[in-house]
Amino acid sequence: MFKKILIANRGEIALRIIRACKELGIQAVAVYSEADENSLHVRFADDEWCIGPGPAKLSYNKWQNIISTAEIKGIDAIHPGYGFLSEDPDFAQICADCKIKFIGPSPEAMKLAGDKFAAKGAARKAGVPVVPGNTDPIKDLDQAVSVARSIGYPVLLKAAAGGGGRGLRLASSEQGLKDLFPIAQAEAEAAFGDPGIYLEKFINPARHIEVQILADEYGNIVYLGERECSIQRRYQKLIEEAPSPFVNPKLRERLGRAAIAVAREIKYTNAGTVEFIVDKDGNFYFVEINARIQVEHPVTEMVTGIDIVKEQIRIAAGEKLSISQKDVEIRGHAIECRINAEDPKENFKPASGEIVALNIPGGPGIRIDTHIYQGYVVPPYYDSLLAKLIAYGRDRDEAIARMRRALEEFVIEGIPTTIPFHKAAISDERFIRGDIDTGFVDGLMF
Amino acid sequence: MNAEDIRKLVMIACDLNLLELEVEGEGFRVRIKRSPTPSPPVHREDKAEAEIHYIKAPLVGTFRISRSPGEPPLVSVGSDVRDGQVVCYIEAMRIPNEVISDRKGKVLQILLEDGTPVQYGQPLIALEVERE
Repeated sequence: MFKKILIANRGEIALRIIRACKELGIQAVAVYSEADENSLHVRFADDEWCIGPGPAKLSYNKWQNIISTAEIKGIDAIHPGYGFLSEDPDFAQICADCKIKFIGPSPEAMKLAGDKFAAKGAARKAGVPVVPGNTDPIKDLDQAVSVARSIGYPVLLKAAAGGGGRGLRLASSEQGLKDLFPIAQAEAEAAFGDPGIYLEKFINPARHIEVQILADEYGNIVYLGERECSIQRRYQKLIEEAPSPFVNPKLRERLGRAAIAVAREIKYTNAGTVEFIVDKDGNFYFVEINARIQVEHPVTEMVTGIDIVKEQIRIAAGEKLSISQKDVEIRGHAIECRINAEDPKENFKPASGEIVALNIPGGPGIRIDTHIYQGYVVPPYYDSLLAKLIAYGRDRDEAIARMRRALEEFVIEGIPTTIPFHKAAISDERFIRGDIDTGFVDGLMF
Repeated sequence: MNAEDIRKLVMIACDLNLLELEVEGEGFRVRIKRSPTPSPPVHREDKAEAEIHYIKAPLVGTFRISRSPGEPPLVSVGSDVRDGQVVCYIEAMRIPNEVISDRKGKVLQILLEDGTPVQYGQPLIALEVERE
C-alpha cells in the first residue's frame, strides 16, 4: 500500500480523498493555490505545499508544480479528484514517466474514454447501442446538414473535444442547425481549442442514467448499480439519486453488463462511470465514460456501503477487487443535492464572497461533503460547488423526507445558494412521483 | 557592517517572523536572536527612503544559489542587482529555471540555504530597494 498520496485538487473532493487516506493510514499531502490558503483541505492534510496563484491554469492545472511537489515530498501516488488534471492523459503519462502512480485509469484507456468517437466505436464493438450520430468530427455545415438529414431532427450539437455541457446546442430544424452550427463551432474552438463538432439524435424525453464501475488491474470488473442524474440545468447535474426510480432489476442488470462490456473493451481500470441515455421505453444508448471519480459518487456509496475512493486507492496500489458482483447489494435509497454558490433567481449566476453564518444539517441518514465553514471566503476562480447534501432512507420516500428537513436546517448566509431551488424541486409532485427527465428544471417554479 | 545594516537585518527578521538570523561576510558575523515572547514591533520611519523587497519563488522546486553545485553564487549579501537580472535558480524536474529580480536594489539577505525545497511565492532573497 502507498505511504504518501498527493491530492491534486481542492474543495470538498480534496477533503473527501484526505478522509479516505486517513482511514487507510496513508499520509495525505495537499497542494493549494494562494486563494485557497485558508481552505480546509490545507488544514486537514498531513502536509501541504503552495503551487501557484488563484487562477487554476497557474496552480491546480500547472502540472509542473504538482510533479515538483511530488518529488520534493517523496510521493507514491497522486489522486487527481475530478476536474482539473483528472482526465488529462498527458498528465497520467507524465506521472507514469516520473514513477508516480496515478490513481485512475491508464493514459491509454483515459485517452480512449476522452475521445467521444473512439469511445462510441468501442461501445459498438462491445455490442452496446449508441445514440445515432456521426462517427468522425464534423468540420463544416454541409456535412452537418447531411448527417442531420440521415438521423432526423431534433439533433444535439456537442464539442467533439469537450464535455461538461460546454458548446452544447439543440437544433430542432435544418434552419436551426444552420443558425447554431457556427456558434457551437466557435464555442468549441474557444473552450477546447478544437472546432470539431459531434452531432447526435436528441432523445426526448430522456433520462440520464449512469453506472458506477470498479475495475482492478487483473481484469475483474463490477458494477455498483446506477445513478439517476436527470435533474440538470444546461446539462449540469443538480440532483442525483441511487437507485433510479425508473430502473427495475432487469434493466439494472442489462445496464450493468453493458457498462462492463464497454469498460472491458477499452481495458479500463480503477473507478469509472458509464453514462447512458434511457428513453421512456427503457431503450438505452451509451453516451460516454467518465474516467474519474464523480461528484455524485456518495449516493452509490450510501446504497452499496462501498467506499469508492478507498477502492480507487486499493486498486491503484495493485490490490485485487475484494468484492465480486454477487457481493454488490443495493439497499435503501440516497439522494444528493448539489449546494452551489449560485443565485437561482438570477439564472444561477455564480457568486463569491464570505459565508457569514452557517448551520450544517445533521441527524439520521444525512451526510454532508463540504469544505466550507463560517468565515470561509468563496474564491472567484473555481467551480461553484459549496456542499453535497446527501440523504439516505430505507426507501425513496424516507430519503425525500430527510432531504426536505435537512434543506430546512441548512443555513448559509452571506452569499446566494441553490438551497431555495432544491427545496422547490424536492417538494415538486413530479419529483415525488419519480416522474423526472432532463427537462424537469425548465418546468419548475421556485 | 554598521548599525544601519544591523537595523535592516532586524527588520528582515521581524518581517519574516524569524527567531534567529545569522549573517556572515568578510570580517564580520552577526547573529540576531529574538526572545520567543512577542516583542514590540520595530518602529519604521515613514520618511525612510529605502524599503525591503522580496524576490519570491515563481515556481515550485529546489532553491539554487548557483547554476550548478560548486559554482560561485550569482549574488551575495551586498551585491547590486538590476531589474531583470538573474539572481538564483529553482531546479524543477532536474532543470534549473532562472529567477529574475523584478526590482533594482542591493541584496540584504539570502533567505534560504542552497538546496532548500520552495513553495510557489516563497521569499528567496531580500533586497533593499528605493521606496516607490
